[in-house]
Amino acid sequence: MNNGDASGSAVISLRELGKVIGGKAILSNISVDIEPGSIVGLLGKNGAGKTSLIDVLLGFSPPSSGSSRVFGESSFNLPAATKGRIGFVPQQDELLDSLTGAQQLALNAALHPVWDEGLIARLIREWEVPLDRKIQVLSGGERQKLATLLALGHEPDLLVLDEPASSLDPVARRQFLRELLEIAESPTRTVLFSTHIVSDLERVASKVWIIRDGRLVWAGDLDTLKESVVRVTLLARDPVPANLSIDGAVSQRTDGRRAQLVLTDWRDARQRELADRFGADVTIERLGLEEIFLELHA
Amino acid sequence: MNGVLRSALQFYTRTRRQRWLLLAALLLFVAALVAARLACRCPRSVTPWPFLLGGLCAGAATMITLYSAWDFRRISALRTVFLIPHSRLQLAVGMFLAQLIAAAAGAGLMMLVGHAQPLSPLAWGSPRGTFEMLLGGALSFVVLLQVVTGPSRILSVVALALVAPLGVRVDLFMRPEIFGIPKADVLALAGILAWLLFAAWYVIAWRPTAPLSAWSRGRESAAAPLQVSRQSAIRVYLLGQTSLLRVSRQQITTWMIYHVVILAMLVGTQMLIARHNFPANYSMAIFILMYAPVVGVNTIAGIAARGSRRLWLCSGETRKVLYATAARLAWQSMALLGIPLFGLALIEIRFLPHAGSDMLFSLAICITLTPGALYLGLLNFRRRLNLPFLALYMVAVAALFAELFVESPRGKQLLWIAPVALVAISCVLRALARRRWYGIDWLQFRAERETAPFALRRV
Repeated sequence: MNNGDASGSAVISLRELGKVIGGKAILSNISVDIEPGSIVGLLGKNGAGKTSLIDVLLGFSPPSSGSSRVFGESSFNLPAATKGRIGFVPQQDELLDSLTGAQQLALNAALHPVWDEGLIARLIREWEVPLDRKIQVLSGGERQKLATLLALGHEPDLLVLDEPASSLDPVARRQFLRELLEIAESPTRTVLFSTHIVSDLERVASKVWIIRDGRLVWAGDLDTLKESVVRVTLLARDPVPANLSIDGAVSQRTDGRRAQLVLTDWRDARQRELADRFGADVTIERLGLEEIFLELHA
Repeated sequence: MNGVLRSALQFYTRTRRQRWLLLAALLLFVAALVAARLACRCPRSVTPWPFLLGGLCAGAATMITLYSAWDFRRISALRTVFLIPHSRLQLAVGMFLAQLIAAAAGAGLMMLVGHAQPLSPLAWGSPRGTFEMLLGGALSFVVLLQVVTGPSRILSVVALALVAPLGVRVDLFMRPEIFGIPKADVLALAGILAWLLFAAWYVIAWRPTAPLSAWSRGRESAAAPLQVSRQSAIRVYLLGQTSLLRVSRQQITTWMIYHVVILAMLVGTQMLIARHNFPANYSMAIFILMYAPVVGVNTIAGIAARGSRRLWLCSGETRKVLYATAARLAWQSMALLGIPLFGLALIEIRFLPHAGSDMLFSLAICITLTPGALYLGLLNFRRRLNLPFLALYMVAVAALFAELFVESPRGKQLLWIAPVALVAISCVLRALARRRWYGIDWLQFRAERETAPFALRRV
């Protein structure tokens, strides 16, 4: 997790970012960086602020407070050269219904100085994207694949995908994520993708941002997150109090001599502390990302 | 019953915009009546204010009805409403009740203010007649809007063609009686009958479509070349179509269909039915030609505004350049639509017989209205009913309405302020459009899928 001042080489750098629409705070006090070569999964419930955050950091929308920079440039006034280094797949595709897939690809190729025909031809074959039909008759999954192709053709250094796999079937999703890993293999290419499908994120991302009600509640390595959030079961000799007052407790349930808690910032030394404090046997259970996500949103 | 009452109420008060319109209509109504009372001692020709205020009031009332008719169709198309038992019956009865309440309120207000003398030869203003005229007029207007906005272009053209002959028979509207029956009663009966017929279809129809959904489908586009220049790619992205010429041609074709059908109806009616009984009046057909560029340019500018978001990243251009490109496209569309359509209107004004209004004044109003419509289009980032455009349009209609009633040369001269005012409004709108575009926050205007029937979501 980098949320200090090391923003010199950062691909994305957000500082105390806030966004207010119609008097309602959509994003609050977000400070975080992304280093080159990272695959970052942005995780949050519907309406948590994922798409708003992406809109602000790509310059679609000005921040209400704080700053957002991409490749060192202010997001709201990105120069053409910087925009050329970004590929974006929006949640709702912005394809032109009256064109065919081939026409749409030709248009995008005309807009960019660099266009990797070889990569696009290979992905068209592998993803079986129909190019000869009007976009208005394509299925949701086919549209999403086409929108992703458009974002990849100019070999972007930063690829931002907003719910990229939500319309794909399980087979296509797995294939898509595999491709995403391949694409991100370059040490200079960075991928940020938002999702609410936790298994996708677990399969691909090296870092995770968890956003809740417009606030970033976690930003860091996926493995660190999994290690730092645990479920603790206490089995005491005497009945435990209803309120255990333990630092970092996300949730707690007590039942007589037994208590179950989910704790953040876990360190192995805390096991001994808890055993001594409550005179209890303490068992630790590591959680999957989905459980962590659910607990953080409980 | 609760559902019916709630439906009736929401057609006038659901949104803040509707409530403001309602308040504006009421204030204008009172102002028009007060102005008429103050002006009664003066010669009518030099006091256009009662007519101007009355025109604006009629405009506001028309907008309220238009909005509620649009809302009615929009709500009917929702799948969630489709699943509610008897929802459409409740909506239909609610809409009828809403018009009934509005007519009663309008007539009651008229009586309360004390304007009980009928304005001869109209029954308007009399205790007996005002309510019937309001109810019949409102119901007929709502039905016409339902038919014109869907379910198919052919049906909307046919509906207009059926209404068009009424434009010829202006003499019918200026009589207190039609076929021996008081005109207000005829209007009320016609409105109720039209509503009953529409409601019968509406209740048994499988699922009504959203307004104008049949219009936006469009035809298959011609194949675009696979090698395109950067500039043409930007244009295609903004327009969503392969060329500006093509979009303009679509607009011209649609409006010319209306124009030709109405012309044919007028000529046919005159030749076959009423050969020598009344003077020919082709104003309605010419008005369609004159308003076509106004609406067409507004539509194309709106399409460009909504297409701008998808160019922000892939074109690499700044907001200023995107605005300049979209504005240039809109001005080009104004030339492509305006030159042939205004030109044709000018020729028809010269050669076709018409009566009642100064058509050159109307043409000047429409020409000066078009730049304002263009900038309002550029401000329309949401694919929604463009109420500011309707408001501007109503200002122009009020000017035309006033022109009909002002008779003195001095009054007529004064009215030429209106085109100048419209140009001034365009300049203000241009400044607003530039300001909005230079700092546009697309997050507030998230793309709504063109394929979605309606997006009621607000960000």
